[in-house]
Amino acid sequence: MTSTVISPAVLKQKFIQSSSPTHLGLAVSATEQCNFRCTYCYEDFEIGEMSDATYTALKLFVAKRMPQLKSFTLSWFGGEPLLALDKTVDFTRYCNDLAAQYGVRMPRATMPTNASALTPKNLVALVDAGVRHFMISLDGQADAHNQTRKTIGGKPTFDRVYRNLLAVRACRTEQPFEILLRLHLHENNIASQLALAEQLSADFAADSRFDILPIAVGDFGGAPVKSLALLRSNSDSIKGEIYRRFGRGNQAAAQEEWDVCYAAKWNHLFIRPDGRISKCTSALNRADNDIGRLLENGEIEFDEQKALLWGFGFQTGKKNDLDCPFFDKPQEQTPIRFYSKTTLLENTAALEFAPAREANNGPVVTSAVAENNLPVIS
Amino acid sequence: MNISQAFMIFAATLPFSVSRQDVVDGDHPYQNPAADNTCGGCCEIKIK
Repeated sequence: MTSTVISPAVLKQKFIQSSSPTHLGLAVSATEQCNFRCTYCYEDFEIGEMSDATYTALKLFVAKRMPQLKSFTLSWFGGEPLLALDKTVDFTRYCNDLAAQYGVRMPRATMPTNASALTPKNLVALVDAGVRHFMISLDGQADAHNQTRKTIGGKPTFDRVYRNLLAVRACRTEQPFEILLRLHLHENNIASQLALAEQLSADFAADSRFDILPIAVGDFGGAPVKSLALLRSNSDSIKGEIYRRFGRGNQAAAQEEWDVCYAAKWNHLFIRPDGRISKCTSALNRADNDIGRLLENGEIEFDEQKALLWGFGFQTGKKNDLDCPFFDKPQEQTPIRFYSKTTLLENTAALEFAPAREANNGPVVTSAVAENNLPVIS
Repeated sequence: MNISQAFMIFAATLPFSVSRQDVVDGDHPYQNPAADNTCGGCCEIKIK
């Protein structure tokens, strides 16, 4: 795969933003349980809801960090976040209150949800607490959607999800909210997605709170996705046609400034329900993604080397490596080079970055950088 | 999230010069939440 190289000036700017100790980004999974079993999902659903002890530790952690921050972001993850509705509402409100207390910028929190429990009542509770951007996936009209997005018992889900969408459309909340409808594409649902785009146009295009985003289903691991025919067709033309039928483009995406993946950011952490800390929300079971844990006293303990490896794109300067340190190379041993370009670090060379190769795959440290004749940290 | 020695060792491997003070002074811009959505396919969005 070819990759654009980011200019050193932009790279430096992004690195500083991604490392600033005055910013903290958290992705939090209050549960990894889900009432759906989508056929392409990479999660194993082995971890249940966050325990009260871990939840208390998470709050302590945020309470300790907030006074040092200028900005804070919160993104919910799952499982299905609404299966832990009480914690998602309570924690979002807790963070917003703390941010207000210390004058910290905190944009609206985000949440992917399958929308099976996104009733008007639950939506209002979430919006009031500060969750105001929702991402909901649709795999086509009922015929196609129900083939891939089923309940844990194998039942169809389209009607319930669509009914909830129509119900929340009627909600007039005190604070604004946005719903991004992610239209998943694979080889066998293109016609159904095109038809859905027309249905969505009639039902939602006039409401600026709703946007669509057609995206191809990707292989993020796990066995189920292997049986799905991933998109081989020209995705740009299909996406263009979906937007045309919907009647407008994606307003948020059009305004989006390029940014590096949160997994590559030093100041972004993913908190799992069992208190483990990771970088990537896709590579859930990779050892190199298990970078630390939340302690009961609200401190965190983590392996800096593992964490830093997710930012290897700052070393290569390649856009692909910064867009996603994981995608398209799940089984590949991504070469990471730690070397010093000055003599400054020669004396500390062996302290932190002894070559460490993970048992499975992923970022590893290699020692040779002979072509640059630079001192090698090994 | 202190700026540790390990972090600065990493920083010294980058193809640009960055000091501890650069990082300390660095700010984080307002983020469009839609540009930072955490969910499997977000990576695909950025790559395509």
